[in-house]
Amino acid sequence: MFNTLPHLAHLPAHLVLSLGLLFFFLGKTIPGIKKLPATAIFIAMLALAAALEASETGSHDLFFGMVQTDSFSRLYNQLYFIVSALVVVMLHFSDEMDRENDWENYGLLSCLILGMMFMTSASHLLMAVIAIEMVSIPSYLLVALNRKNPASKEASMKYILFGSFATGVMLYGMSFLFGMTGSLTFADIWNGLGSESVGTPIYYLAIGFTLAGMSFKVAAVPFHFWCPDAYQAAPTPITAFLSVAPKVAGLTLMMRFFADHLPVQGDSLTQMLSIVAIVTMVVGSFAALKQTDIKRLLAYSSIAHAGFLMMGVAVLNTDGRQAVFFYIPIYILMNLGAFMAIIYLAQDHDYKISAFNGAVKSNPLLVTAFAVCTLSLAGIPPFAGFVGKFYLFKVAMEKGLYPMILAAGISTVVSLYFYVSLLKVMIIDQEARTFSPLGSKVPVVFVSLCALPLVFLGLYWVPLVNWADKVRLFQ
Amino acid sequence: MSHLLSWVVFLPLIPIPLLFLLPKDKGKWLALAVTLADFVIGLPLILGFDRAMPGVSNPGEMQFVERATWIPSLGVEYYIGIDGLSVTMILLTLLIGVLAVLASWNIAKHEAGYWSMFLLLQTAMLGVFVSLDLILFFVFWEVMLFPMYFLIGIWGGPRRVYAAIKFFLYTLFGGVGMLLAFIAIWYYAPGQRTWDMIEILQRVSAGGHFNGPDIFGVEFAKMIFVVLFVGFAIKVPIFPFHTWLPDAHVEAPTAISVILAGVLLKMGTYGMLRINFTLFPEAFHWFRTFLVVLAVINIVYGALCALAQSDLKKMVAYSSVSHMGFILLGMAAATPQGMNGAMLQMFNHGTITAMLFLLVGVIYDRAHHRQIDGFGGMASVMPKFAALTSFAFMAAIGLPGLSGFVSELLILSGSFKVYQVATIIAGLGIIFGAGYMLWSYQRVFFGKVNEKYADFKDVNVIEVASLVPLLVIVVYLGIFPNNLIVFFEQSMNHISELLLAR
Amino acid sequence: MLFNFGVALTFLIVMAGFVAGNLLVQLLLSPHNNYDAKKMPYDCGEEPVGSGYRQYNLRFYLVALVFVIFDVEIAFMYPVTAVFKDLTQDGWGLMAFVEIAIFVLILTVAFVYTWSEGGLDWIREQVKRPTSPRE
Repeated sequence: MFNTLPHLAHLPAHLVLSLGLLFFFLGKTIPGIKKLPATAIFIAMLALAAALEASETGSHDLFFGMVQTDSFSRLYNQLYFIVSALVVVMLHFSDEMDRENDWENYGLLSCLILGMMFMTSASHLLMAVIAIEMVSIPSYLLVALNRKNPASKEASMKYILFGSFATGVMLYGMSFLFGMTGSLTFADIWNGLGSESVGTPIYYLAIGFTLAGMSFKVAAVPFHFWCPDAYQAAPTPITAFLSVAPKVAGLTLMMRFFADHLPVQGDSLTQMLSIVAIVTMVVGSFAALKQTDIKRLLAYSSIAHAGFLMMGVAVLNTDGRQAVFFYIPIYILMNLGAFMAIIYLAQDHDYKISAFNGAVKSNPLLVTAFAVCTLSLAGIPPFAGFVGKFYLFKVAMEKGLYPMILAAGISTVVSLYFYVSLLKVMIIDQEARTFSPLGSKVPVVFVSLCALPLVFLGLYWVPLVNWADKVRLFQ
Repeated sequence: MSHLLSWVVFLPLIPIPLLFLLPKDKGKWLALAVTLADFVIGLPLILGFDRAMPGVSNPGEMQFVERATWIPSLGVEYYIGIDGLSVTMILLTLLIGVLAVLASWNIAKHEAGYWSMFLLLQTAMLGVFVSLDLILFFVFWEVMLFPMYFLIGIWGGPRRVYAAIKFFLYTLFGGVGMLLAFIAIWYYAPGQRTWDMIEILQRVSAGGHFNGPDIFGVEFAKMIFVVLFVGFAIKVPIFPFHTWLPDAHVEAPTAISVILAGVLLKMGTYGMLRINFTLFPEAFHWFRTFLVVLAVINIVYGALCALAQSDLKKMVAYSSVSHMGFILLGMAAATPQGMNGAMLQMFNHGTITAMLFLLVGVIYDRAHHRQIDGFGGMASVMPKFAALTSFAFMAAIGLPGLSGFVSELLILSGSFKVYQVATIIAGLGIIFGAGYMLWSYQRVFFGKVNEKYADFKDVNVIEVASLVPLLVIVVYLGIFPNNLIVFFEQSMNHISELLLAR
Repeated sequence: MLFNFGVALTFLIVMAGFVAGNLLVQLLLSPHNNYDAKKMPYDCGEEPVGSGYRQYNLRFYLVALVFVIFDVEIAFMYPVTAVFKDLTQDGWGLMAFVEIAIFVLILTVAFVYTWSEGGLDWIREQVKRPTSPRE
């Protein structure tokens, strides 16, 4: 065991987060520490972890093939830290979570982030399971902590049951993979599934079931049923966090899992992933049309976006990975901007879409920024969302996956309807009630700062492409 | 000055931040100043244009070219330039821009928002006509969508939200298909990958082929042609993708209807000529007969629908559909006369239909309804208005001496060589056109004076100012059409050559 | 391969059949003397009063939950102790100890948290919470 200690030297950010986790849970027991500002410590911890991640270099295979750190994992980890910091800001402006529980919340978030980091670095199936559970269990708890919505406990219960089921299915699939190849390391699995097993029913079964657990985290169809309920009832900052971070972590796990496949397996895997992507995009877009609750609508929209991102995963090449990484920062900005605007505008925690009528009158700048985020989500030029979609279409076209492209095109057009209906409600409809917004202007600044890069990146996106270049190869 | 074309395209964007700082009703003066300035700096483009260079498939012959790398890793460039195909469209857009500002003089709510969307729309339209890079073209095309949504959805008529979202969804549907087709064109282009439209056209006209796979069992070139065609057909609009047009036109405010009919519809036919037909000449030949059928349906069906309308604006909208059918007929014929006629008709339709919508706007401003049978005897109440309207209606019918006649003549004579039956049926369309125009004129202007409207004021200075330039152009081009035709003659003849060669 | 599945299937059928057979025999051969007192729950001879279905205090659940977690922890510790002697002889003793200590430590952190937050208190002070408006 002691010969694995040096491995820890390559995981400084993980160590920092583990210590943070301990601190946030044990700190309350020590009388003096309870008075310290938890938020500041949490942000400082994230900053320290980000700095440590940024100073790492090289690719390392750690803990006997369990964990692999490389530029891919480093870049995504930095994104997780950024998202968490932004969500902490959102937490401040939402009163749905009990501020008395800040220490626990940050402890749970630390555990979540740690789990996400392991999901991105996992190169062993059991590590993947551990990481998925490390992410899921704190999310079950965080979803239940909405003190303004009594349905949050029910939503969390649904989430727990569904998550356990998905994990069970995933473990079953993993057991098949172990049975077929004798190993649980990603690279060994693909080497073990030679050309004689490709295309057999057990091959599809094993990989499909393993995919089940990962698609549960990503909220891909048919493992998306928990998503609308959990998103609707959870505290809105947590919804925003869930709609971005664990989804991205699930996608990175998928990308890493499928990365070492042999050429002979490529077509069957692309087929499976394409089917999931197509169904996810279509279901996400069409189901959102009938929604009357804005958080549920955004939940289905995030399901549809997961489908689009799976297009980038399904092509199973470095271009796809680059396209996915290109899209993620844009997606983070769009989603967090939209959710912050909702937090600011929602009165009495009424999230029905009709409650937002005519919001533009009292909050012109906020609604304009929200419009930018929404149009970007829909994929309209000149906003950055279009560029992200463009890259995803491009990599799919280069692979020749025409049914998927057709489904993506239809989903884009359909999704425009519900995104624009949000704008219609806020801008064109008459005010139904007065908006007495929160005193601080910070949320407005937040949403505007999310919207500005979307406009800039929509016109000149070269810096982001260059940043995304680093995840092409696992170096 | 250097980078003249970029200045022309982006000038409308520059004062947008100022709009939010100015007091409420000064925004329109700023918009007027900007559009006039744009028109003025656009004049050197027109005057400095070398009419002898066709330029369509030869990158070296494009004029006022500006080229800069935009996204090196993709090969996308900021590449703009004009040739005969686009120079008339630029002139039309700049002109209609100024007139639309005058037409929206009375907008009273959220002016800053209105003018910012309006100016953004202006830039987008100009950008579409000058773009020579596929992705740049697409971005400008799509940028035009959400300003239109807000312009119709906020400042429009009673059913504006329905009309706006219908327009948005329909056009986006075509747009997504277009994007996918562009990516396919880039990926499977003959020779080295490039997004440069003119370069690809040059390779295709030299005999290059797209080496793409069959998509869903259909040959690559045909599939991409059809996908692109649908995308542009929605804009033109061509039956059966025309259903958004009556709603959008009727519910949009007057100025937006003017822009929609005057410029936006031409973007569809421009796109067809620039990208769709010329890049896939064999597919064009395969599709040609169907195209003629669609054109004739547009002409006749549009005219019949117009005949059945009781709303004046909807009638003009359907007459628009009908006149765009003529453009399509000329393009399908692909003979030099047909092509030149189509291009001239694009410009003429822009001016004439703009005039029609402006006139409908005048009467709507006063009566707040557009029911043809709700008026009567307006000629004695508003004589100047009646004169202008009669003028516009005659131009729409295609009276000789006015510009509409010349373009229709060219189209019909160009298509008679190839599709005799279709031309004859199209001729019927002209008769129907006379039918609905004259009949509606009679119902509105002649007969007993409707007492409710007996004290309407005649057209005021601003309305006249927006109508007279168009009037002058229509007359001038009716007598001296060649002065405009020389601008695009070389290019259109070249396109005709490209299409008929294979 | 298929033969092995067949063996497993036969095993299943025999197993189910054995159980079913026994129950069937009991059903047919046993005397049926049903009277009310037989159906009541056994309470060491006392007569039960009232219904058994009442709401029990949550503290029982919390204590039981914490108990289960630490019971499972003990169950995990047993295999380690069982092979500990052999491990020491192979030189892995220290490593095994540290590993199981880390495992216990992680659970102890949770235990400390539960203890300090009053999860194990039998009597908790009533915290006045503003009731959330029910919709």
